[in-house]
Amino acid sequence: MAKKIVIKSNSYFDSVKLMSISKSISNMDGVAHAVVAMGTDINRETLHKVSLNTPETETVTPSDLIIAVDAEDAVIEEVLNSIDEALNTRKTGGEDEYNPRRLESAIDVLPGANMVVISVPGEYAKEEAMKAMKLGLHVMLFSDNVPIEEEKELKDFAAEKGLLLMGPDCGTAIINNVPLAFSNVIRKGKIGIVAASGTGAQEVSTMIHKAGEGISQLIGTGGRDLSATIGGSMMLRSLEALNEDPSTEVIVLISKPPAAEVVTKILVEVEKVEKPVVIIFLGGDLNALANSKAQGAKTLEDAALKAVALLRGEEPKEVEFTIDKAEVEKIADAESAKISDKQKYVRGLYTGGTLADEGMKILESKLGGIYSNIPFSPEFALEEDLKSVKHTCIDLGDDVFTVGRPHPMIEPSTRVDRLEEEIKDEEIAVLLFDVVIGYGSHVDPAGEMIATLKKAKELYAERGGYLAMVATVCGTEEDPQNLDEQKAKLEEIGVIVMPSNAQAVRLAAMIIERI
Amino acid sequence: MNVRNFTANSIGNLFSQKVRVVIMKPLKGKIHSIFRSVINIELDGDLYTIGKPKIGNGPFTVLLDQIMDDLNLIGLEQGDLVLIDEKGILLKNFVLIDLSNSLIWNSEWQMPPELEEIFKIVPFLKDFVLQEGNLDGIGALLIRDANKREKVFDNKSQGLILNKAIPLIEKMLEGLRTYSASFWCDLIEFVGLGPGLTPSSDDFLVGFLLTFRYLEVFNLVKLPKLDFSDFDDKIKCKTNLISASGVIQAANGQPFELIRDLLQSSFSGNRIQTILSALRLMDRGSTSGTDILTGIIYACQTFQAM
Repeated sequence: MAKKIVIKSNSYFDSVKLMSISKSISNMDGVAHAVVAMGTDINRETLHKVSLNTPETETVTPSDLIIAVDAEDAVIEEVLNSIDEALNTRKTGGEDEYNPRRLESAIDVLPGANMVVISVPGEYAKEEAMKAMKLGLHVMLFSDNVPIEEEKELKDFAAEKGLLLMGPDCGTAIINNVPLAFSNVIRKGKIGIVAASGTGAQEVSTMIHKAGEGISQLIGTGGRDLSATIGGSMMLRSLEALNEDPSTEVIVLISKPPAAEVVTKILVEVEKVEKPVVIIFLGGDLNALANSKAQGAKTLEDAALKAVALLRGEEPKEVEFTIDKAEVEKIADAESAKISDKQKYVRGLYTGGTLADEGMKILESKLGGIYSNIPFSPEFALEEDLKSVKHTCIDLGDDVFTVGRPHPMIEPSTRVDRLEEEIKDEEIAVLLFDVVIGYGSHVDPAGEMIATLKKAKELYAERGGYLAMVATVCGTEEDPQNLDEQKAKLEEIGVIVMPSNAQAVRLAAMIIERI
Repeated sequence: MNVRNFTANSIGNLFSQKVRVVIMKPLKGKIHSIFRSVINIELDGDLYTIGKPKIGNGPFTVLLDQIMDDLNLIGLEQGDLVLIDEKGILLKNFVLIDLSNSLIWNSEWQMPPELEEIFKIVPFLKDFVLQEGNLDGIGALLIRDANKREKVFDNKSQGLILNKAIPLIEKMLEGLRTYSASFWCDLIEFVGLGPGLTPSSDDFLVGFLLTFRYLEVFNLVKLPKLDFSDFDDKIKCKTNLISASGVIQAANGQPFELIRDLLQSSFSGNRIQTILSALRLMDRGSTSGTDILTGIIYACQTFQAM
């Protein structure tokens, strides 16, 4: 073993670098012990205790840096070279060692970055977003509870600086093929999406992927972008950007019904666009698009398939089921035949807010009013205890369910707990639910539900009935959770998994109609 | 060589007092050290800091307007001449920092601590540091889990430092509990221990002293009198000037913005602001932020026991 001391007189290296050097030396093969410290009296005493002191260390001052190494003879030169190299690299620490806690520090570590994802409590979001934009960064603002006046201020500033301000409350985006927050692995393609709805964007992008096409960009705007106050600021600018983007050939706009004056603004902008545009204002009146060149879509799947058709130069058409309708009817017949007389209602337990909206809209058109925590009209609002009534659809991602708990897409236990409650009700005939996979979602959302779903099946069988279960998995086979694996888990216990939310809801309604 | 112009956004109140005299006579000094976000300058044996906004204000700090440059790479070197006159701060002969529009940042405490919150904050801060902090320094003293603690103490270097720190801290606290002037001697003895540019013990002392000085301003406690005139020199002999400056300022009750924000939010019960301030503090150096927080936690615990 050899002892080697390196002394750097009057040298100051920041602590990140010193600790990084210390760790990397200590981890090298053949190194028994290494100390990197300033030459203070008390540190010199410490060197004494581990016998790493030498006559040289006795002469250092508190302003000198001491690097003391006890290592095998064979590696000592290599160690010293590594130290020298590390000290002479004019860079703060190693990225793997340093976890920046502030925006400015993150930029220091990754100077080429041009976009930042901000997720801080709403009251601090404006300050952070403003700081980022002043540094010339595009912003994806994941934070919610940002006052709408602040959103307006941020979006006005972004427009002035020519930057993207996605959000607030923007949970989904795919920029230059990089999925951000709750997004799926979607192939690169020619369809650009601008969405004021997170799971709406996920459903459309995954349907495009399943249809064999891909997306150029998926820009989130935040749910309030199309309100009268914000005026569609981000959607209008994104539309313009995608029109100019050579890799985008078809554009899809997704939102809940916007304020009337904003619809007009958007349709005026659409007229200027040289590319085909598909618009879904989920649950909105398609007549509003009557004089527009844009293709209106009724469901998220419809929007995706119309975009794919337009890209391929085909005539867009509405599709009720992508599998043979006769087959679907057979399934509905078989399922309804097993259901007892007592069972009458559908219960939708959704983790995706827009998927819940879409589900309710389709169910309402077929079964009448749907009770919910996010009802279309006040008479169908659930009571304060949120107990399901008749046909009910629940958005479990709504604030009332997420106070002090993670979103159910991240933590499925919220839905599992709700399911335990629901199955006490003997009148349920069909359980309808979504499974949203992709980045940000739970590692195995389907797997987490299996035990309770099985228990539900058994319980209804004991009661002499049968609980039909219909689901949809929003995701792709390339997502970390894998679409096929999630589907297989559900199908194995008798859940009917449909290719889209719209089709799942239609099948659920079909079963109810046959009882 | 072309002059590069930077604009200062703010200047600490004590730095401002120092430069007020330049109309009569320019100040001369030298560059003490340079980092990515900071240039330290030495004037009359004291250290003053010029830095990017991320470092936060301090009584002896000038904060520049947002800049992307790595200050290491703008062509300055340790020992280069510094001249402060009515035009601003001239580094070497080509970096000019315009102070004319800078706002003066005042290092005084802005709000009184709430006694109840001081008692409540300790378990919260401890959990937070254990979860988020870098425990490679003195922060490891907070580890409760026996296995993890044993592992840290088994680590040759860190174990030695912690074993050395424990009796020194205890001695210092005993001086404080008995209101003895030996507190300051014991404190000096503790200076300069541990890894990092600012040794862990120094960071610990910054957090510890500022907490007590904050409580003292609002008459909740009194530190033994610091009655020896060469305190600053003694500290400067025990550690490097960068670290010594922090300890001396803390002993004088002159807080940095990041620590003041943390203490004020902690002691007013604003948990979100406390977390954000703590994260900002932890962003400072490697173990520095955690070591400062450890000092704050020890100070709160000592205050409770007094």
